[in-house]
Amino acid sequence: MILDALLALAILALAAWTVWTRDAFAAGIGFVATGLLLALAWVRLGSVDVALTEAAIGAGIGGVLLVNAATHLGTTAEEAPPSPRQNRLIALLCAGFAVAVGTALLTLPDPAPNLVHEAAAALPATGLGNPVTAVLMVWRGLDTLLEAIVVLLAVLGLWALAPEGATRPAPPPREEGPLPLLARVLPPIGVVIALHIVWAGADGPGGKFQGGAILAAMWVLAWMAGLVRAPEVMDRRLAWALVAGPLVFLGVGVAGLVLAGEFLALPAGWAKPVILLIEAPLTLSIAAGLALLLLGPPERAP
Amino acid sequence: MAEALTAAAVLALLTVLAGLVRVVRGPTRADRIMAAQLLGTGGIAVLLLLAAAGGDMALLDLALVLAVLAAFAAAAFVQAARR
Amino acid sequence: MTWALLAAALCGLGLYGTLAAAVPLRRLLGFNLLGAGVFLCFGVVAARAGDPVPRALVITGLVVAFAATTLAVALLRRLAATRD
Repeated sequence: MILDALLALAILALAAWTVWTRDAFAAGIGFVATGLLLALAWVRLGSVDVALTEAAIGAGIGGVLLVNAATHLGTTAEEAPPSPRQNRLIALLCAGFAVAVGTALLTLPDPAPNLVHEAAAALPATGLGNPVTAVLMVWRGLDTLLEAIVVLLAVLGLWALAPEGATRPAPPPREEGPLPLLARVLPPIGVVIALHIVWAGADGPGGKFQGGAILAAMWVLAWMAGLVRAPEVMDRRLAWALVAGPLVFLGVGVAGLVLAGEFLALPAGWAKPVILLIEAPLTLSIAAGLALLLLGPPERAP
Repeated sequence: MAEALTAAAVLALLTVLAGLVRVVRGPTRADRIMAAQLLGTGGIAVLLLLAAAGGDMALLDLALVLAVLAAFAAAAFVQAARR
Repeated sequence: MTWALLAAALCGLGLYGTLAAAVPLRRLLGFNLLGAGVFLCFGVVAARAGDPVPRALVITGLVVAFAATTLAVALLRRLAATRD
């Protein structure tokens, strides 16, 4: 199909340019553009869930992070580039790797081994309409819990890199003009859309990570415009916002151990309300974590 | 009708791809940022057309998310580019 | 077919970027492209059977990749600060 071929060619060309271009800022923009087209590719692959995540986290806040990093770090080489001979060898081996992956994908057994029936059979018991959410919440609940904790650990890792005596991330440059206006107009709309995406995740594409990413982006926008201050690292309320989600999730997990005999087991018929109970604080924690990751490590007050 | 809408989606994608030239060639940072914004807007158009062609209303949610984050990304890129 | 080829090409391209770039930030970009290629591999497998499990794994993977990238960027900035 012509749409798919066009899209695939454009992604490949843009990705290749992103790898080869010298200007770090341009490479960052190229990465964002690649991510945007990849989101369209995921739509064509029939997975709007992943397209949402790619658009919100991969290209969206991930792209902003990398473009920001590009202007901070520039293009100073940390070490000598590989010699032409080494370069040719690397290119050859990578091409071989690509051929191997391609061959493996094109010669998959038919029908492919899959878990469709198992996933579909588990769906009615959860009260959820979206099989991807059902997999994330019920089947691989432990994965989702650990994923939320990975965000928390990344925040702790970031804070661990802060210099001695650092209290909060460095404030953004003073802004006047259009940015404070945008930062007042956009967040109310963004928050509504984010909550819609979280809520829609139960029955259709959406979910807490995608919605949380939008919430984080809206808060960072207000911070960029100087409308809100970044919280201090030692702020108690911040600590509670960060751990509320994982704590409730763990609490429900232990309750499942007591009531249903298995960690994270959800009592039959109650799965949907319990999942909503977990998702609300989890969305808050994920949004807070992603926003702090976007802001970077705290620095010493000047 | 669905074929016509899909054809329109291909056309919208082609205009987006034409904008990629500015992402690649620049020459200024503003050119690249504007081209990335065009990519976002064009992507939304492609999604809306595909939603109408295939009847998958979840694509409208994706278009909404793209619209909000494109505005955020534009602001963030400009602040970064001025540094 | 199209997507399988794209997934394989992105894997190769991303790995090349990760290994051959001398600028740390561009290595990070290459690493993220490699990730995109690997996720597309999952997508190709999932699309053949309409299987939700690989898709759920990709969503997890995207979030973890973002968290790892922020940490890598923070490490690079710290490294740059110590060299000044």
